[in-house]
Formats: sequence, structure tokens, C-alpha cells
Amino acid sequence: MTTSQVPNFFELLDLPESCAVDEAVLERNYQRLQTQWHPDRFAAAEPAQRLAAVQQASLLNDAYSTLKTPLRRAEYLLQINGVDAHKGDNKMLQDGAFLMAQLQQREELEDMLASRNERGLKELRKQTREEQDEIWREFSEGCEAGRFGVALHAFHKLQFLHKLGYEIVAAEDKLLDEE
Amino acid sequence: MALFTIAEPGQSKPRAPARRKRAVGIDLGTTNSLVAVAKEGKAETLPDAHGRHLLPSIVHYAVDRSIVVGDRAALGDVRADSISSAKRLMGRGIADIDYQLPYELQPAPEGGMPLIKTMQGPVSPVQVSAEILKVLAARGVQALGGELDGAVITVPAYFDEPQRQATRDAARLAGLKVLRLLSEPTAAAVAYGLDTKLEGTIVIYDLGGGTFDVSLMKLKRGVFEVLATGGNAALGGDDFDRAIVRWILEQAQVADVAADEFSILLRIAREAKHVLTDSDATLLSWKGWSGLLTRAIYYTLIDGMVNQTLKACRRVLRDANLDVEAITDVVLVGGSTRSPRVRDKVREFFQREPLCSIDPDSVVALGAALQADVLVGNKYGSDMLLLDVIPLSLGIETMGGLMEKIVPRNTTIPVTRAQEFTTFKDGQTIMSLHVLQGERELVSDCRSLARFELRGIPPMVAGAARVRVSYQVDADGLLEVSAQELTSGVHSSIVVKPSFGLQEKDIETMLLDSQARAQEDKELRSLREKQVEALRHLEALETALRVDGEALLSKDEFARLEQSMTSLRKVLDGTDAALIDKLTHELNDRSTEFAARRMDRGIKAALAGHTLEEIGH
Repeated sequence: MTTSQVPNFFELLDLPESCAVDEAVLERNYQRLQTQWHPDRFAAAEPAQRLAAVQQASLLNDAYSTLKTPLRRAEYLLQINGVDAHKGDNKMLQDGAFLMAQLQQREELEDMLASRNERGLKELRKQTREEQDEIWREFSEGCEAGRFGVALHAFHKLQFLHKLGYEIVAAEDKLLDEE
Repeated sequence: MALFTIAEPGQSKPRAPARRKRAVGIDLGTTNSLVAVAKEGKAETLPDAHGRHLLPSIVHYAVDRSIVVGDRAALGDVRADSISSAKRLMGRGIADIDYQLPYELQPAPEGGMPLIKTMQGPVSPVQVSAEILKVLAARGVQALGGELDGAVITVPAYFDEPQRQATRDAARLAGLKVLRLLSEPTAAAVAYGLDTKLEGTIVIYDLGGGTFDVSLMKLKRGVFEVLATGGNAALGGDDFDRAIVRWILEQAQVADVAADEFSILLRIAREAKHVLTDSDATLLSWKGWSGLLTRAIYYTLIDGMVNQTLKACRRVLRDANLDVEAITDVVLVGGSTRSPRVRDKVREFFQREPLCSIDPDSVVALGAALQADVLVGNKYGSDMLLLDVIPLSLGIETMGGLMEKIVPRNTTIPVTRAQEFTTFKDGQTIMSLHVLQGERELVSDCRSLARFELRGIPPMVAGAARVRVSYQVDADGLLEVSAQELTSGVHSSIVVKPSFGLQEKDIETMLLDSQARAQEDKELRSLREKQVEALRHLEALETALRVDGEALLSKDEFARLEQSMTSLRKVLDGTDAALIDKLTHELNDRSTEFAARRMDRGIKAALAGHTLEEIGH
């Protein structure tokens, strides 16, 4: 409903609509636009102008963080291609191999937490990040070929891994606090 | 001087250059405050008539109704009745103050910030801060030769909403136009960035009198981007002093002292701390007791606190997904970083020599002045861009007393985020919204910022209304919340003001607890979810029974269902999640047949495959 009012983030930041985003260009374009629109430019302006600046700067921040973060970019790409990542069948549960690997990694995480294996957690975090990179390639290929079913499946896997990454960080935090 | 001038048409006088706007940067510190001005990218702090730049953040309310700020208030007989460290009380409730102060507090009538007892009656911390700001602003007026057009005031990066709001209120009270509330580490980065052309991935380690901040920033070509920030809004050099006082009392075997005696002890402690910066030991004496405080003892007193700051550093690195090796430079800010112990620990942690080429006491004010000069509209540095973040997540209370995050911490500001919620009951016309800040999952562990109601929602079945709640955080980090029912357009909004209604806890405790108690939260969350689910089943079934119960069920079946509902209701408020789950499932099983019969009544086709809980909606 509100999507029609919100401009396309890729257009807004002057980038081609694609899975692969040149981070340097993204950052440069964002900073150029933000330099123009940041409320600091309008510190002495009229209230209406200041409000407009806050809104435009907020939109730019949202667009930038969406396109910069791979998982959010993926979700956004699906969304603008008419795929709601949170609706419909999640085929995840049928991918036995992936689920088994996930379960195993979670068990490892529990063990590492119990044995206060800080180094192991860091390693697991790195490993998860690498795995994410690999599945990101799956997502990209599906997306670029217009096979959004494949892309959606990869997206769901990415979500799993993202959650795992989050839990590893929480475990690391826990060890940090208990020191 | 000409009394009037005659200008021929089309022959206007050459216009005088536009007046340079007058702006100052103010570092409103816990123990010391400073004001600075900038011109052409060069900033300098302003001294008082005696050449002193640092203004002790101390205010004395004298019997003769005069108000004395700064050095004089720290002198001789007025000392005992002087208010110091008022910054620590800004935006806090009386329940947050769990340490001794050298003056007495009284609770505010509406449960807001506590008031401080003085010879002139009770004053609020906002008033005390405003007095300090007035003195600093006056220095600016004198140095710049006229009324100020605006000021940038710095706040700790880790200040939450009520603390920022209180600072803004103090500025208003002092008659200042605030161009921006700027985070202290960001201000320091600006000073380094413009003065020493520092670039790269920078850590700003800012340990002041009462607050600790650490910001991880990216500096590149005039862009100052905060990647992550952390800290403790109630940890600073003041706490080092307090630790020494506790040690003296322990050594002298004195259990407790009155406020005025405590204030004398604090002064002794502060002097000892300064001596230990350059010496290995110092001889202390107080009321007939005397003892030697060595560096070794002193370090055992403060090491716990210094380690706390390093923990915050680790967390910030982790939040930004960076290793120590990725850091280009570490910058020391705040008077407490003069302590050799702090320097050693920071050096050891970041594996490099920290920078402190700009005086750590004045660097924040200098940066604030540079930014003030830009914001007020003077040309120099107008392509500079400061991208700050919010230090703590903002969210809303959802069913079951849970905190749902709407804007996560370390999100770049300004930011607007919206989320849709729906009604829980049939015919619900009012929705209460409870705005929160913090990292914990339970509402009771987060800071309550505001409550407001969206009224006049047209009556609909539960789940049909669509309430869009929008959070907007401006560049100062101040929040505005609005809510709108989308199907009818009913609108309601609020600018968040501090509220102290709920049980308040220290902000640092909130964050630390957040991780330590993650497991406990998870269990509680699961319980709340089970409770909500059970309640939904009960309400749906109740509605269905009212409509079709008698027609579709035998007396026996009706009674059995009711019995099942009663037993579920009995355990609903308990803490046994498994039991609630079991009875909910039992109820679900027993009502399947009823649901099937309802479907048979001509709606089977439409509802094929759906479960009972959806029918109730």
C-alpha cells in the first residue's frame, strides 16, 4: 500500500537494480546525497524545510542500510519483484541436508558456550559468514536469472544463517559478561 | 554619522558583508564544562576574566539568593552546600541514584527527576545545568561581541532519550538556541578530523568525570560516520574518587558519614587521584586517621571499572564486525584518560599508542564549536557531514509485556521506521501504546519513555484494524512517535518526554543484564507467547460458542468444552509454560469437532483447511 509512495531505493541512490552492489559507489552516492539533505544543512531554516530534510535524510538512511546489508537487500529485491518473503510456503523444512547441518552447528554452539570456548565461537562465526557468502551466490544466481523460487529458497537459508550468527554473538556476549 | 542616506534608483550602495553569525560549542561536563568558538576551521576555548578555561560544573545557591557558578563555588565555606555532578541526575529518577552524593535529594512531586535541596529551596538538575550554561554563554557573548545566534551542546553518546531531552530543556532555560545536540565522541572526532586531518577507522575512547563513551567511527574526506557506539552513562572519574573515599572509610574504620563530611572526603580523594598520576604513592590524612595510598592499591580499586570500559570496547568492535587489527587509531578524550592506568589498559587492549595530541579536556568543546560554526551558516567546512547513531534500541510494548524493537541500536539518524499492529479484541476502539528504550526483552527491564493512546478506532473484529506506529528520530537523537489506524485514518501522535512511572534501572545494567539474562528472557518469552496463544484460543472459542454453541453442540459436549476452558483459565496466569501448552492443545483437540460442524453450516468451502483459531478472528 505504501510501496507506491516510496521511491525505489536503487533509483534513489543512483545504482543499477541488481544483487551485486558496488559498495564504494553505494557509499559515495549516499554520502553525496546525504551531504545535500542532512538536517545539519537546514539547522537555521524554517521548520517546514527542516522537517522535509529530516524525512529525506531518513529515507536515504533507510535506503542505504537496506542496500548495504546483504540480507535486507535480498529481501528488498524479492519485494520489488513481487515476492513477499514472509508469506507462502517455506520449503526450508524439506531441505534435510541443510537442516541437519544447522542442527549440528547449533549443538556445537551449545557445547562451546558450555565449555566457554571463546576461540571456537569466533571460528564458528567466521565459518557461518563464509557459508552465508556461498548461499548469497545461490541467491544472486536465482535472482539474476529471474528464478525467484530459487532465490526465495536461498533467502530462507540466509535467514537461518543470520539467526545462527546472531546467536553466536549472543553467546560471545554472555561469555564476555561472565568474565 | 549620516542621519539618512539617499539612494538613486538602480544605484544601490555596495552592500556591507553579511554579519558573521555568532555560535558557540559547549561541553557540559559532569565535573568541568567548557565553551569554545571557531573561525575558519580554527577553534579555541574561552577563558573567564582570570584566564581559566575550565569551568567546574559546580553551582552554589547562597543564602543571600545569589547563585555562584564554578571556581568560587568550590572554595572554602560554601563548598559543603555546593551542587556538583548534576549531570548525573539529568533525566534520571530518584530510584536510579544508588550512590552517595555530597548533597541531599528529595523526590519530585510527579515522580520525575529528583530535586536537590539548597539554601534557596529545592532546585532541579535541569536548573543547575542551565546556570552553568548561562555562565558559558556569557563568555561567548563577550568574546563574539553580541547575542548568540546558536549553540551546539554536547551530550554523552550513550545518553538515552530522557537525558537528551533534559539537556535540551536546560539549554532552553538558559535562553540558548540549540543548533544541535552532538555526541561527545563525535565532537572529538570532528576536532581531530579538521585539525590533524585524521582519517580511517577510529576508536574514540571518552572517559569523563561521570560518563564513559566509546564510539567506533569512519573518518574520510569530511565525512564522520559513527559505525557503533557503546558505553556507560554512569561511570567516570567521579567513581574513581568514590572508590578512594570508600577505601579511606574502610581504613579509618568509619561506617558512614554525613553529606558535608563526604564532600570533604571527595576532595581529598580527588587530590590523591591527581597526585597518583605522577607519583607512586601519596600520604592521606583525615580526622586523625592517616595512611599511605600507593598506586598498587589505587589500581586494585579502579581496575574493575577500567575493565568495564574495555568490555564496552569489545562489544562495539563486535557490533561493527571489526577486529582490533582493523583500527587505524585510538583517540583519548576526557580528563580521566590522564590516568596512566587507563592509558596502559587502552594501549594494551588496542595494541597501539593512543592519540592525545589535542588536550583531552577541551577537545569536545573544540569540535562542538567547529560544528556550531558550520550549522549557524558560516561558510567554512559546509561540506562536512556528521552521521550519528542511536545508542540504545527504541521499541514498543506488545502483548505479554514484551519489548518489540522498532529502531535497533546503532541505526544511523535521522531515521523513520514504522510497524503495523492490530487489535487483540473484537470491537476494540482504544489502543494503548507504550514507548520503550533498551535492549532487554521484557518491558519491565527497559526504560519507559512515554505512554499514549490511539482512540476512536472503529469497532472491528480482532485483528482487522491496522495500526501503523511510526518512530521518527531526528539528528539530535530525539524521538517523536505517532500512530494511525489505516483503514479509518484516525491519527494520534506524541513527542516523547521523559516519564518515570515504571521501575527504573540504570541504563548500563539494562544492557549488561540483557546478555547475561538472555536465557531467562527466552524462557519468559516462551511463557508469554504460550499465554497469549491460550488467551486467543479461549476468546475465539468463547465467541464461537456464543454464536453457534447451543445449536451445534449437545449439552454434554458443551459442558465438556467449558470444563476444558475453565481448567486452562486456571493455569493461565501461572508460570508453567508446559502445562499451559498441554491444556491449550487439549482444548484445541476437543473443539475440533465443533469447528468442523460450524464449517458444515455452509461455509465449508470457504474455510477448507483452516483451523479453529482463524475462525474466531
